[in-house]
Amino acid sequence: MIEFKNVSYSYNDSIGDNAAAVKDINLKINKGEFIGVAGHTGSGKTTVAQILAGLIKPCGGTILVDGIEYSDYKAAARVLRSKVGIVFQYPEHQLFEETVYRDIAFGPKNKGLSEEETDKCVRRSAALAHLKEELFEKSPFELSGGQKRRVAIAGVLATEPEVLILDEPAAGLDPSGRERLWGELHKIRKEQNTTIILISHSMEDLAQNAERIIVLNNGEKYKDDTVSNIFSDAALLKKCGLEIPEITKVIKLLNDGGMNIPENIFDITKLSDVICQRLGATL
Amino acid sequence: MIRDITIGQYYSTDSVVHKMDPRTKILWTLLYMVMLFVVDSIYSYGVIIAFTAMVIKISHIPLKYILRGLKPILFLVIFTAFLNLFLVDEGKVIFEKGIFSITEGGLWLAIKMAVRITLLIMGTSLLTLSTTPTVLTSGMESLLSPLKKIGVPVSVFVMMISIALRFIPTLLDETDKIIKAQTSRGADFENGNPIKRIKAMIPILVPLFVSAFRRADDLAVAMECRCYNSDAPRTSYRKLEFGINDLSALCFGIIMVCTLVLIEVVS
Amino acid sequence: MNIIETKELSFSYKRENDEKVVLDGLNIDIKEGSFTAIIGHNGSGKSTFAKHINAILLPCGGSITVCGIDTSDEKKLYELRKSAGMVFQNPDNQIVATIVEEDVAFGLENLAIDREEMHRRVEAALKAVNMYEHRKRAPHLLSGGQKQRVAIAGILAMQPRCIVLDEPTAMLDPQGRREVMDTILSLNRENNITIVLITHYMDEAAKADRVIVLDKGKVRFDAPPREVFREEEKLRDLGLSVPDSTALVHALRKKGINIEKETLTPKECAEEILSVTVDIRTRLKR
Repeated sequence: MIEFKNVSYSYNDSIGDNAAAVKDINLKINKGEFIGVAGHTGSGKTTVAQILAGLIKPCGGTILVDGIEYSDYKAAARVLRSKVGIVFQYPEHQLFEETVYRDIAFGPKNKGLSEEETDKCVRRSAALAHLKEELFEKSPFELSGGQKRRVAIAGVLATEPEVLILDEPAAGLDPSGRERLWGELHKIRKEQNTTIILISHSMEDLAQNAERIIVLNNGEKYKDDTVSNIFSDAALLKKCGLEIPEITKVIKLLNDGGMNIPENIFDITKLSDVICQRLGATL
Repeated sequence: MIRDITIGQYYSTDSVVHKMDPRTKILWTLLYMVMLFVVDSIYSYGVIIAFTAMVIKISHIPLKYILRGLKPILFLVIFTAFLNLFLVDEGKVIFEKGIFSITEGGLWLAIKMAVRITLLIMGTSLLTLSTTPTVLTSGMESLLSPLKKIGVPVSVFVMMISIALRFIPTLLDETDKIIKAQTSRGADFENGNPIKRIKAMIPILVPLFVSAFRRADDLAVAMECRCYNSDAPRTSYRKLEFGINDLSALCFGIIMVCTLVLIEVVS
Repeated sequence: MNIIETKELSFSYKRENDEKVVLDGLNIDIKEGSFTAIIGHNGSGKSTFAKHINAILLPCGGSITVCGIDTSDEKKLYELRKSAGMVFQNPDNQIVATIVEEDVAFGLENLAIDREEMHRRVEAALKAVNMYEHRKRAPHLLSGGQKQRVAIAGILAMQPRCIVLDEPTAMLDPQGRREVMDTILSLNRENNITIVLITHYMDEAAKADRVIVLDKGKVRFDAPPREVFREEEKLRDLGLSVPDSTALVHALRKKGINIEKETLTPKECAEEILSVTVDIRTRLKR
């Protein structure tokens, strides 16, 4: 659906510039995928996300949307912005309206939808983000931290993006808050066939949720592969300054001790099954 | 545009200019401003330009960095230059077409004003680029300290300035992020009539203010936790040292003033 | 000796006509030199408790004594804050100065320490958090982990007996988290500073000597991490979790594999599982 060919971005040594440089990025984003983006701080994850969302202009390369190449960046940005929604880190910091309802309606209204259509959009996205309608008339600033974040996410969903990018969406949430967020993302994907791109430092989160992982290192795409291929390659993760999921560390230690367990298991119940089998075999 | 603001941005090098006492630099900057607006002779400007170039050279700050501070006021420079060019009617006419005429006097004044503003910005940028905000504020505090005797809360005022300077980069980053987030939701900041554009700022300004208040609140608590009390006596980590370089800089200042006076009198 | 003692500590926010109880009669004693982690879901009262330790908030009921000072004693406020320092979640919002070393000196300037002593302490504090080489840099150019270590140094320079850290790693990347955790552990072990760490990362809590679980302003568990994490089901009911290495052993136990020990790290976990295999093999041979 969206394709990057040799896309680069660099910013002159400017003040307050927080986008890291990237070079020669080639990638394809397909409909309905759940993609994880991994990389250490400064590897260019956020830059790639912002180029995808049509927010910063790459300084080289081509971007194809639905197979169409745009020579004019303004036109490309318009298409990208209409198709891609981005949830920044701490999205609750972007709330501004007087009521929850109006904040969520900001996107649809900008798109020029009618009152009726906007209303539908707001209700649908609020339901997707697990927001109760009785909150609609409250001020977003009165809500709890977790609720604020859901309002912010609903505000992006209301623009009905075909691709939803989330930059560290779980930062600051407690374990149950995280679990609920992942559940919501999978539901959105299932119900709307939305492509989800999850940017995260946490390899556990990526391993549990994504199907495909793009690893960035120092502004270059280092690897683009399935979750199990990426995480079974400890050397690669180490080289890119990434953490190995705790469960993978256990498997590696078990294998060092003579057990033979595949390294692409990221689920505890599944791993315990496999260990039982192995133990059963020794019996 | 936001990124082009150089005021309050320190550029670290190990030069003599950087090591100078901030009080010397503040006094020099004031002197420099006065000189700029008092002198009139082309030779005097030559001396000042040469001096500015010399300071930039020994400060080891890339010229590119200093020039970037000019970008936001470029419009002002060109605008005032044009005003002078077309409105001043003095001396020989060198160009005429319809109601527009350019005179020698107008041309000279236009160049003079453009050079003045440019040099002014370059000079003050040099001060902020070569002096960390904390040092600058402690220099200010020291120069203003006589006012403490008449009950002016100089330390509180100085603390406010240094915190403001500290948070400029943080809030710039934040603004950038908010603009991008709202753009992604379809907000349009570039098109439409002025009223529409002002309205379009609300989704940026509200979150920015909320964030600034939140930060202020957090910072106040953090400062209190570190025993800050505006009424209690404080000591200072940094000692301002007035050294041989400062003395020679001030002597040089006096010599330069004398030279300029001489030039003005002769021409 | 106890450095922190609370007696029936209660706190509630009053909003218009409803009252929200945040802390509900806490009795927590913390020993000098210990490392205590406090966990609980968002809104469990853990941050509110932390803010009571150095009198940012004052109790509505009961009392809290820190380093022998009752926190509601206004005359001893600065003495209290000097002995019990606090590090917050957002590193950007607690750095005051524009140069690292000057920020570290901020607390000392407030305490009117003389300049020579100040330079000595700033140097020592920056070395203790491994940031000495960055002393001349501007804080906004540092990484999150580095900023947070500067904030810790700023507290350390005041030579506190106790440091309270309120989710210091929540905004950091894995590398930053590791840096901060290593710093905290070394301060506790080498400088014998009492650490109270509020966190919602279970692997961080696992590194403490003692874990206190708060829920609705009450203490639900208070024991060494191994004992607390044994209660996986109950913790999950409270919106918490356990480290994966612990959860794996629990899952195996449910399937009838007999592992006695609670494991907190991948290494312990793998060792236990392997020793079970060895057991089975030796039994078979016999």
